[in-house]
Amino acid sequence: MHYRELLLFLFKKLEHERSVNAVFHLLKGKKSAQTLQDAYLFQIENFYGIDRKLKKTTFNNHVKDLIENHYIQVANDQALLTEQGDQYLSGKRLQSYYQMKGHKYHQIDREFKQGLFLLIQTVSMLIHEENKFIPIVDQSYIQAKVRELLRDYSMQFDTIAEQLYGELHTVLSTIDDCLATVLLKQCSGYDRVGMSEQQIADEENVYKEDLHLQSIAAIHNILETITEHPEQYSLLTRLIWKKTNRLTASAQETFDLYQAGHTLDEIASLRQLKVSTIQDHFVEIATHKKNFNIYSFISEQVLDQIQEAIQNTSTRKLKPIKERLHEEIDYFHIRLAIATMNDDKE
Amino acid sequence: MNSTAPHDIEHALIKLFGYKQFRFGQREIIESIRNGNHTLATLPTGSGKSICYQLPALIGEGLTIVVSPLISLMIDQVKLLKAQGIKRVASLNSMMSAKQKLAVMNQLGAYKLLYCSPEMLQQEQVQQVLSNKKIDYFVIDEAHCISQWGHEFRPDFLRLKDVIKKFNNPTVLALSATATPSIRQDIIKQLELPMKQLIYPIDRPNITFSVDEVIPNRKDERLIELIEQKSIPTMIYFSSRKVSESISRLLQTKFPDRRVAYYHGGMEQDERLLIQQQFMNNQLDIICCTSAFGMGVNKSNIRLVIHYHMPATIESFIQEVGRAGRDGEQSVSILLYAPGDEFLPFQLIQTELPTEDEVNLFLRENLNGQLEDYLNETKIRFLELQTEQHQQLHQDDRRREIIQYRDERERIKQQSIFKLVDWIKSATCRRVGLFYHFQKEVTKAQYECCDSCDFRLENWRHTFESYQKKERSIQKNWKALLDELLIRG
Repeated sequence: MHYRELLLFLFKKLEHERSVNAVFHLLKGKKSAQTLQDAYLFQIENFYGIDRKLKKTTFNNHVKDLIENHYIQVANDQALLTEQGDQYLSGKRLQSYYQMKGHKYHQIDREFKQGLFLLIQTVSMLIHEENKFIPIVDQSYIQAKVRELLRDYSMQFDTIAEQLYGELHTVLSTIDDCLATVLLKQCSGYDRVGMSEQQIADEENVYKEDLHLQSIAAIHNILETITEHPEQYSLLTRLIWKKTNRLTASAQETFDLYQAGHTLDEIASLRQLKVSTIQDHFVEIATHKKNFNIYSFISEQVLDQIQEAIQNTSTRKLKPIKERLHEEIDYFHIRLAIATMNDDKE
Repeated sequence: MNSTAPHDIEHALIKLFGYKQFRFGQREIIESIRNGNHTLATLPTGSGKSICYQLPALIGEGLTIVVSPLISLMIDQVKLLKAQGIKRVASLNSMMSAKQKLAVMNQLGAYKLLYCSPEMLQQEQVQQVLSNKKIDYFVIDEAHCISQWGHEFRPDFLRLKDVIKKFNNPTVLALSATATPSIRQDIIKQLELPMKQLIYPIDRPNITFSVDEVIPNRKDERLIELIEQKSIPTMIYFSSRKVSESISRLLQTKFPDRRVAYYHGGMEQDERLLIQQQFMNNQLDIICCTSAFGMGVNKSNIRLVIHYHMPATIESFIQEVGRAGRDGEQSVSILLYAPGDEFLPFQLIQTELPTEDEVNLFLRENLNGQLEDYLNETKIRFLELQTEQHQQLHQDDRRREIIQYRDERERIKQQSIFKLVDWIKSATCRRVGLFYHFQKEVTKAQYECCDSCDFRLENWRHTFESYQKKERSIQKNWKALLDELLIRG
């Protein structure tokens, strides 16, 4: 499974319709209405957010290579497949890509992977009577989750080890051997530290991005199987974070602080962020959260005025709206008001 | 604080850390602070500096604050302590989320040791919470960073003296492995405290020094030769992330039987963690790294430290070399030098200090909010502190002061590069040349001394076991790996 094939495939899907960058945003899982809509419109939602750490320079390098190998041409910011590109693509079996389910799992796949790695490491250490070790995953909430899980099993390490081994053996047998191997090479345990994706890629002489696709596919395959048959995978399903949160992590943090009783200005100083950044977060929160009470920021009266102005200008551009309003009403208020008009909330 | 019978701290040493005996200097430093003396102490890297405050902290009544310049160092320390079963430790740093910070501050009572960056200690909320606590000791690790003559000068270190007062003057311990007499004086001056000095020699007699001068474009060739000859656990230091990667790849290609990896600050956190632990677990033979690696890496059997690029100061050089031979066995430092190498550290100075034009720009224009477009973070921090310090001055005087200060800093930095270049080019004893800045007498070498005295790398016959054959994970499939992990052998 190669990254460049996937790029070529995605460029083909968006040919004549969208810019080169649309593919970048798709892979990164950009949280914009446009990107999400496109994903479904062009039936490439499986790839939404499958490479959330993708860097622009890395992406550009792959694109440059495709151009230099005469697989695509880029004109007006759009990628067109050459005859050679089309031929190359038609010779590939691309079904394997469909095993990914980016739209479904992009919010939980990384946490699941890390939780899995930490659980494997911990159990492996404990059955070897090694109870002092450095956890391979730093995030404290993942550590807490695994600790809680172990506690629920009353620390019966041999029992957990047996069950974990059994569930992993069963689920990995259902997926491609190569994918399973790539995943397990990354695992740490007693007297062995796992390899990084980069190291495995170097060893196999492929790009790190190629290898990342394999890892993520492995994780999505596992998630698909265990969520379909949760009764068979009672241990592994415990590693799924129930999260359908549409907020960015940073906005979520702001929201948590807000719910804990802090004001906008307090949050800005606590987090050492600009007030305008925190305002952005509140706009995001107002867009997505049903139970968010906007009236602590604007009065009902002001909200009415803004909404009226929006209807009268029949635009969602900010400037013409602001010009129709009293000058004390600032852009933050207007953006909040627009946000409340979003009816797709959770 | 009262002095306790000596066997108490010995008992704690065994119980908490599993050591039967104190190492050189540790007991004296511990007793000094337990008797309530503000203390400035030097001990070589890798000699158990941290026990000097960890032990008193853990058996004390109140909280100990440890100020540490590097976040990665702080995180490593906390992790290591926790892995040893010492759980009452936490850190406060800028890499944590507001929620995590709050969680730590809300349960300060649960901790004995709190690692903090100097920047965090400037936050009002942090100060407020901590000033209501009983603080036993205030420790400044890598204390040379306080000094403008030290190599990692950070403005917020200068404000520590006020923090100490706010915390009701706990006993202060300033620790360093690289503090010259002038730096030590400066530390005491900056802290405005009477301090007892416990100065131990910082040279490590089991390390042999060598400088290898090569023609500019023959460096890689020479490096490959070295690696070929010496099949021993090796660290190679670079100033550039990119070069550390490319040389790592080169070496892996040339030596497929050895396990080579790279490590630098530009890598993702997960990956850095893996590489560091592979190295600690003896799964790597050669690591190509930048100075981001190593602080807090306590691996005992590093036999060879090669510098592919020269560092910017003698202090960083000593610190990096100090990663070698912590088990006391012979280890060798090789600095590869090609004429013109000093150009790189000189260039780095320009990215650290604002130019005169940039100073003017900062003072004249109102760049609020778009400062980052014009200046990098280091420069902004420098300028902000300087403007703050000369607030009372008239605009023009302030400008003059700042520029003068900037020029002085540039001169200091350039001088320290020149000092290292002089050392590289000198034909006298390397140990004397390195350590006479720090101490009156240089300890006699335990094995060979240096390339000026008695050492020829070609003749070095080390007795260390060479590599185990590289385990080719590529041949293993998932079933074998799963068995290895989860079935007790």
